[in-house]
Amino acid sequence: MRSFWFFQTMAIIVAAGLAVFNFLYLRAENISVFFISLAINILLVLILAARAWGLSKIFSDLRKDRDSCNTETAVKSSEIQELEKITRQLVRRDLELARANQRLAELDAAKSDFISIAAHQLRTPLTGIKWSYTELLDPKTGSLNDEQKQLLKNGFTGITNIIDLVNDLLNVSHLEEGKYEFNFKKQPLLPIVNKAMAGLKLVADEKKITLFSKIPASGLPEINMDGEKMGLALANVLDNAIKYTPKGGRIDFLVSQEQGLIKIVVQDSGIGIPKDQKGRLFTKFFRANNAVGVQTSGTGLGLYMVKKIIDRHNGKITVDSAEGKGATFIITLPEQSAKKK
Amino acid sequence: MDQPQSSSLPEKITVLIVEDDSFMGSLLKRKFEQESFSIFLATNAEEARGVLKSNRIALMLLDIVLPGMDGFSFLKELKATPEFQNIPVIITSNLGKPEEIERGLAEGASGYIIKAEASTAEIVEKVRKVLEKK
Repeated sequence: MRSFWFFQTMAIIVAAGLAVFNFLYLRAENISVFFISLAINILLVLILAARAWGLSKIFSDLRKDRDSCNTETAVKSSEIQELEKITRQLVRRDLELARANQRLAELDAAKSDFISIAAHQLRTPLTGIKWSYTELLDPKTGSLNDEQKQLLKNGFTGITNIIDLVNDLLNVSHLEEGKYEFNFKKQPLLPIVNKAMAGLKLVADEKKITLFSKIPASGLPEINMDGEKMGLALANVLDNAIKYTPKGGRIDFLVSQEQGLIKIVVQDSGIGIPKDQKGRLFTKFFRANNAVGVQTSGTGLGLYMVKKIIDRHNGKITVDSAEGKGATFIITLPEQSAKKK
Repeated sequence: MDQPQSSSLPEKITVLIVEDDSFMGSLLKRKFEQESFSIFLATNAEEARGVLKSNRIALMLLDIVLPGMDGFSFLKELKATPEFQNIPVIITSNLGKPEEIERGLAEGASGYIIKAEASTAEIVEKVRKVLEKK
């Protein structure tokens, strides 16, 4: 910029100098030549001046543009900085979340491991205690008075309950760890259903509960399932029906097929489930208030396991119930069951 | 030869119980002796080996969770040893997952008992059954 103005100025000075020279020197010799060259000089000066003015305008415009560009650049650059800041924050949050997730997974595994280890370590002394009680109650060990016998029997019941709880805890932790290996095989449901029924009948008779069952003797399609686990699930649901139905009650066990699904219904006339507690029925360790009232011992793990097993078979379990008016559990299983884990 | 009283009594069957928990071991020993068995107790594989070498053992009850060498490995070793491979082994464990039971049977066990689910009387029964089959 500065060099332009310099040359511009120099050119004007030179032109002016020439003009003066002309004026002073040539005027004396030849007036016409003098005037012509003066005119040329003045023209040159005017042209140069005009150019200078024009150019300076262009330059000032350019300067304005440059300034506004700079301002824009400054604004954009601060926006970019802001974006970068946000991006860094997001990356950081993502890392934190990933770390938190990993920590949660570790804690969950540790908790499962803990349950496995604790359950196993508990089983050994508990078994020893159970055996001691059995031996004490055995007449071969020695005779007991009635009071002693009763105390021991109560103790034995307590131990059996704890062992059941530990078993349930172990099962749950295995289920969650994925260590519970499901062996899926296409097989008929009937034998499993019949076995569950047989178990149910014995206890129902003892408790004078009427058992009504409608199980088709044939025609049920074979389904892909783990027979042992399915048997466990059914036994559990039936067990509950018995447990929570008072003497003289009624249980209906119905198996049918509709629309490509196998439907198993267990309906009892028992204590039912309070409306506000239905939602938590299939969660771990949950026992409805009225259930605890009827039977104080119980792990709250049964239905949780049942749901997990049914889920793995790609089936559904729902419950329909009102407090005091019994409960109906409905299990549906598709023929093409079994989610690949 | 010098047994003044017991010459008419049948020879007691000797069972080796490998169990690291002394409480349970003593309860088992007591029950089996009540049922006229002769019992040796070992709390780990090494002790068990010693007993096997110096006594005639008719059957072995083997726990899985043992200090040092675990039950499965010991079982495998026994079944590879000519002098001991014909001794029936019943696994008594507090594990009991299906895959473990399968493994035990695959390694040559004659039976698998889950202690928490059985009574001492049932264990004696099982031992008798396995010995009868032999």
